[in-house]
Amino acid sequence: MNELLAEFLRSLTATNDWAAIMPEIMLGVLALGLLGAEMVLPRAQQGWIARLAIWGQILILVVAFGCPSCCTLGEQSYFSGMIEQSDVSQIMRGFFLISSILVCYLGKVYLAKQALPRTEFFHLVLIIAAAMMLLVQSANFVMLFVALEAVTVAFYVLVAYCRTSSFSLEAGLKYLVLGALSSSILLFGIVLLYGVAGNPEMSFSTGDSLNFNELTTFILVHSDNMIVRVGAILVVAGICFKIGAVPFQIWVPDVYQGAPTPVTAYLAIASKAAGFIVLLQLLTGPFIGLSSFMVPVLSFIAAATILFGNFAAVAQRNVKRLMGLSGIAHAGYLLVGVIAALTVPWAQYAVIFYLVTYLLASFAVFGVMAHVAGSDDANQELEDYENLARKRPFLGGVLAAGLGSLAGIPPLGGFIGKLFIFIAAFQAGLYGLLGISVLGVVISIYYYFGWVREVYFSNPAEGVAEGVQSLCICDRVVLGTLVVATVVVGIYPGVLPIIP
Amino acid sequence: MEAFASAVFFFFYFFHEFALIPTFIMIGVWGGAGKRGAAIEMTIYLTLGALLSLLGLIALYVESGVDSFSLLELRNYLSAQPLADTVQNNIFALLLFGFGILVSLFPFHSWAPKGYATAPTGAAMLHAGVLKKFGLYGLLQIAAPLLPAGAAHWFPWIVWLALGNIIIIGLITMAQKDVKMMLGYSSVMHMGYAFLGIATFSAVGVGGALLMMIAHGLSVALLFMLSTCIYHRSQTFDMSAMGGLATKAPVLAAFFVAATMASIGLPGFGNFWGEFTIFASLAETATTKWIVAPAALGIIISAIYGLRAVANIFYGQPTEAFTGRLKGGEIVDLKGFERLPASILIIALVLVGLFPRIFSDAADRELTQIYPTLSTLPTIEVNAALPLAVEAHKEVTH
Repeated sequence: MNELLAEFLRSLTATNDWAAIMPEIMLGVLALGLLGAEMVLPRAQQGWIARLAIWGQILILVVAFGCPSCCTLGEQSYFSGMIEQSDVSQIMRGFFLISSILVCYLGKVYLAKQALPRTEFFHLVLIIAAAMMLLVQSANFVMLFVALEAVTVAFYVLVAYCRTSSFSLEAGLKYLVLGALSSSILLFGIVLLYGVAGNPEMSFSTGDSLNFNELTTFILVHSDNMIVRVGAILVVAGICFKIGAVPFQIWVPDVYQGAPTPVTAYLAIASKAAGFIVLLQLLTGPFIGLSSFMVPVLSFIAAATILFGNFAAVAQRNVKRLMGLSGIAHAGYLLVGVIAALTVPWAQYAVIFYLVTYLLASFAVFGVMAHVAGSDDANQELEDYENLARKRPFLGGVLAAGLGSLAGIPPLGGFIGKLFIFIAAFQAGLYGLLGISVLGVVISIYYYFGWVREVYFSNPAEGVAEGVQSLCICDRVVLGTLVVATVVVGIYPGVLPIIP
Repeated sequence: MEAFASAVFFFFYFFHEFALIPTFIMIGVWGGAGKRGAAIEMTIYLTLGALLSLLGLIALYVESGVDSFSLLELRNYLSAQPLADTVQNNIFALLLFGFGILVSLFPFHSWAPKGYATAPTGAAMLHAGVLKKFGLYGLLQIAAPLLPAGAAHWFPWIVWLALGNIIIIGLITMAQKDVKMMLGYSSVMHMGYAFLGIATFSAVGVGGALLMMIAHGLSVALLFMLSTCIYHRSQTFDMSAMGGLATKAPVLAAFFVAATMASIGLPGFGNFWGEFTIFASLAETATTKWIVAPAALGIIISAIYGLRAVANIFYGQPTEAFTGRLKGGEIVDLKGFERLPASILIIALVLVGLFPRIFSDAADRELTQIYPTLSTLPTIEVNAALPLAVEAHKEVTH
């Protein structure tokens, strides 16, 4: 046994593969460092922890992704095929790092209004970021599952972070139960694939039946096999839970409402993006042999997701639930892009582009929500936003830009994101899904602009939005940067080196 | 306004949609009664139209296989190898109904009167005067020339829906009591003529639609502005609650009468040339000849509601409540800052009316290139009529 361990350790230290996941390691060290800093710093200086988390991550972002050569590396495989890096995974690592920086910023705003422990929040956010960065690089089902569970377990804690709020506890419980269910479904699917592909009696069976590349050949040959199909469907269903696609969307509104606003933003943006990239990699990788079987299933899911998300959001007055339900609709548009990616190769970049514009717009909206919310942030109604533009014109403008981008109005980035998805879908010949997407976008105008209406149209009888604190300069810089980035991406999409 | 200057049709769409959020906020913040519903209804409707036309543009881009959004490249490419007929039909349908919603084609017009009635004057002037013409511009620059077979296929639809604009909306306009609602409906009605002009697919008819767009933009903007001037004096938009305003505000009355005459299509104003050339090109061919009679009925209808509005507001016996206001001395005539924009608009209208060549010559040069031959239109036998039509156009404009 000791020899085995020694062999294992030798193989680990003999490679320089560790350099490939340096950003993740640095994030982990920073996360641990935060816990250490809490013990060392005196009570009055605890505010430094948030700053340490944010600036540390910015440093990692600059160091790891600052040089242009880091972003354009070819396909490379590390740790005997556990991890594979490509340009997609490089872009997404930067994406997760940026979203975790913004979540830390939102957390700083949120925690200032709460009597809650701080350090653990930032610690968990960093751990999730590192795990998601590993998730999008995984090329092996074990790696994928471990990274996914690291993300999910940390989210169980974060969703229930506000221990004093019954909403948050309820959300935490629901997320725990349904998350565990989805993980077990995913695991069951993985096990079926592992079993059938590793069966020596099958032709083309493989010794490493968890590896994506080995599975690809096996599934191409055995695309009619019942167990392969059931396994693949279960894996896709497990991921659909994470992205909130119909019929696995039922947890979304409750969890989004109960979770603290920064965690909601993290779930809505980064967690969903991770799910989509994994789905994309699986469908264009191991499951490519099942395309003809997957496309009708996914098309149905996409259509149902778009329609459900939009129709459910129309009647919603609670803004956090509204963001959750409209996020389901966005998951539907993204699924259209994923389906298109099966036949049109560049469509995967359209999906990533959409995710980036969604990140910019959603963080702008969540940023405003974090500022407008009082100490009880689960109950934010549309009424709380009345006269916001008159009281705090800057927040009103940021919200209008963010919602406009989510609705897909030029010149904001969201429009270009939708345009690319639509063009890709057209090239893939998905006319029915395009029609449903257009219907969905038109419905979404009602609730997005309904929200803008609360913000801008004066209602002299009531003057709420009173309790909103004035913003400090760094709040303005962060929110202003998000809006400017949204506009710049909308006017000059080439600024993002995503679409090749 | 960049929308009209773009040869790249992607930006053409982009800049039009740009105006959506500002329009929404303008109506919401400065609008009149019922603005909450009207603003959102208008935005939803316009987004639907815009997205349908966006799908049409994407389809054009993908199906043509030209890897460019440039209108000129696309035009050259498609004139050499046109798309298959069914493809053209589908794309043209998307563009026709998408742009049609933006131009308030019957029966997709309901956003327009309500939106304009609640919008602040400036927003209504800009939207009815300029932004609404975007859809027509798209139809005559992109849809009709690039997809001739699709246009031929949908020709009866355009004609019948345009007649719906003229006759049905015209009758609805006659029933309006609110000045701004009446103007909103009348602007919907006049769009019917522009659609008829485009439906001829000839340089003359389309040129007429172009002149109509310009002149109507000027006259409807003027009328919306004057209606607000009337409101400032009478404190009501209800025409039946006014009367005799001309005794106190003769200059306002003169401007309003002139603008009404222009919108009816009296010779001397720009609108006349638009309507006249459209009728002339309709009458040129046997297939479209019959349309002239019902379309001309629209002129009578617009004369009825226009002159009745003039009579109700400015002449006749004022109502009792209004008599008090008239005698109270609060009502003054058009002030300087109101006279200036009104004069500019009316001068422009007369200018177009007296010298239509300042627009028609340039339009003619371009349109005869875009609509050079009509041999691709098998169902409409206008090929033989083309030289005649061009002649007629020359006569008209000289």
